[in-house]
Amino acid sequence: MRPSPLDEEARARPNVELARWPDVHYLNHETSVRSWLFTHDHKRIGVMYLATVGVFFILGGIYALLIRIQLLSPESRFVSPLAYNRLFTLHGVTMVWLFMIPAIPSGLGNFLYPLMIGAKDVAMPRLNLLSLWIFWAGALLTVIGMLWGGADTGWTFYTPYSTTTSTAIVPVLLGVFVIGLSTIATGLNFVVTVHTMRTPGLGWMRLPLFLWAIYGTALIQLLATPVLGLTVLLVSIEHFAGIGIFDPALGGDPILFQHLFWFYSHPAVYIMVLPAMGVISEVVCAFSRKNVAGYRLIVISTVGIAGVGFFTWGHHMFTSGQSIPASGAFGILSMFVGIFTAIKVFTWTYTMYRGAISLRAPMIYLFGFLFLLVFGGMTGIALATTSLDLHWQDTYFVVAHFHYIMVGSVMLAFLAGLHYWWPKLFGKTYFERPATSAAAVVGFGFIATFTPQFYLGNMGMPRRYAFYPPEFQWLNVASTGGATILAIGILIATVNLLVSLRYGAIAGDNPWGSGGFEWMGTTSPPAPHNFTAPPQFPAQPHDYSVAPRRTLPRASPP
Amino acid sequence: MPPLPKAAIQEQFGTPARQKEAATLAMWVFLGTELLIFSGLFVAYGEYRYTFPVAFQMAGSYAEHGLGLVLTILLLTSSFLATLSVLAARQGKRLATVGLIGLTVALGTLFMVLHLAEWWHHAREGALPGRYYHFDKLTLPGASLFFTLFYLTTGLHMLHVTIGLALLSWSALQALLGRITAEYTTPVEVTVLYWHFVDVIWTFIFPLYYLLARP
Repeated sequence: MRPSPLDEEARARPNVELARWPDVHYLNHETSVRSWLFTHDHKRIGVMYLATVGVFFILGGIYALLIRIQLLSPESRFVSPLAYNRLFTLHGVTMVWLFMIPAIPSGLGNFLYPLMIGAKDVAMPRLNLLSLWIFWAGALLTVIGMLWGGADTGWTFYTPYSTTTSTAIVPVLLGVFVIGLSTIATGLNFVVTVHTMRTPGLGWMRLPLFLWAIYGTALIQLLATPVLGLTVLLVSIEHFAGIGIFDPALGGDPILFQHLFWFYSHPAVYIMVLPAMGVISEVVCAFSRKNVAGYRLIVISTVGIAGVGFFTWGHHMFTSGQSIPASGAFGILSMFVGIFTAIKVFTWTYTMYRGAISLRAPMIYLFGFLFLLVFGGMTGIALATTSLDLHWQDTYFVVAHFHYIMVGSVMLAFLAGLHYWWPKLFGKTYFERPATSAAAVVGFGFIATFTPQFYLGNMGMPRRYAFYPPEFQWLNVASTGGATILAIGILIATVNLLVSLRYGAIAGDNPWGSGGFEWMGTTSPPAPHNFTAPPQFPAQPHDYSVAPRRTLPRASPP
Repeated sequence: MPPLPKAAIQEQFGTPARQKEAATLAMWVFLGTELLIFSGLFVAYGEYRYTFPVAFQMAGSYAEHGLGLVLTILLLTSSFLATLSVLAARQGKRLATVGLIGLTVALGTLFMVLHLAEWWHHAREGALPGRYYHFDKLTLPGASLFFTLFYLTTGLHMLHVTIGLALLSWSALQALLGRITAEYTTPVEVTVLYWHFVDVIWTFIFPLYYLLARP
């Protein structure tokens, strides 16, 4: 690997040592398949989660590309309308439940948070393994159910359509229920571990911000997911046996479904976005070499989003016959999320101000993240305004908005975190130049895909239709073009990461010279039980007043 | 002091006290999630009772008030005995612990039997959920929803009772095998916590479904 200017600079400084490769680490101390499937090690469970969500991310992306191909022309016969309905359901279900919800908390989070609190493992390792198995079972049930029965309701399963559709919807609903159990198990482990397993002296206000984000996420996972579980079970029973709870013919109320569903599914947006924000809080500190400008502000806004997120669900139902005072209240409460998010954005920006910024791949992803978060967030405020939402309801404006704020920010933060922590996960560094290019391509591709959809929605194109009037065609073609660029970017990033596993330079314990706790006291890759002695963490994470020891990557033996 | 059982200290914890704290916290948090599961059904009850006030009151008058009271007494008594079993376990009284948990299980099982008999009784009269409803004494719109919610809520509760009975039997077995000592009572304490939750949920079900309209 050619040394970058940063490396030259680092060579001149003290505190730098050449990377070493630990003889025994969590990847090689046992190697049988059995030792992986029955492991209690949070690191291995995290890696298996990452591999699983990685596969589903690629699958969900392929489904998205198929949707975009269908929409290239106004009356495309690429797939039949029914197949199109199944396709966007498949895309939504895969991306929401099999990628975005587990990706950062269960994948990166599982791996990192015991390292960040100086623990040997999570509080309930067996439950942790069980949650992975349950996730696999649920994912299998969902995917087989989708491919075999082909639910065509969209990922929201709105009644009465979902209770009367002729497609087999029950396997998918049960799959989502099972995945929910796995989410609850993971959240339970997070909360108990953070409360009881912190290394002596590590107080709440010294915790890395990623942990605070995961903690807020876990609270939402615990309090919202049970309601989703109940709701999908009720829909299954209704579809199967006609108990009438959502059936107007028997006195039931389909709108009750929407209330119960969004009581989960709106907070679920924060299950996806809060961990992304946590990743960004770490990345911005590590690559600006400053602790975050307002630690307490980030903590307060994290807890604030987790809390107020439970009282915003009605903004999905402005056109469902909800009373005007209720809509107004939900609209205003939704805007509080914007305030908390803005606090975070200003804090991150101020952290970069006069920082020693190094433009590595995670930082490029972070810039894309900030752009998407700000524009997605501002369109969110617009959508929370009742009078405007009445016109945008169920148009592509909404699609573009939630892809910006939810999908874009999660995807970019996930990739940022994956690159930042790749050396800790596997002890290898990715190749910097393709990674930074991929980051730029992914960011540009994402913006190019969804910006046309804002215009389409504003012009009145409704979502979830296989056909559309011809005047919308050029913007749809532009969107498909953007999706292609996005796919190329993700392909480069994926290949780069996978190739680096074998050919990447040996990273050493702390290749970034990061002040994050997870980089201290462990080797890269970490030892089977993380720490040999309780780690001594500095007073604050990302304290760069005394530069942390940095390891210099060296070429791996062939 | 006798050595602690192997389960009392797992590798990842520093001290047994920490492990007990973690187990207790985990159960409390888990009960929080359980509460949210039931809350969805209580919300549905609230909405439909508000929509169909008369039908709900009429349907409530066909509920088995007397049996409901018996079920309540059974569960409350079992919860009391369960608490006593924790006290016995903390004092290291092995046989008393096993006996008290055994009595709890017996009362819980009786609860299940009587409750299922009540379901059978309603079903024979035709008071079935949704499209199977053919209870000829009450044909008001919305009455079928009362029974839909009744079966859903009490069914979910019965599922919890069953799990609770299994957990109680398991912890009685642990106590019988001498794996519960005065220093290590976590399995009993956590299980009894769960049993109390089952009991508390019932104290909400009882007034909502059985005391709606006294004849």
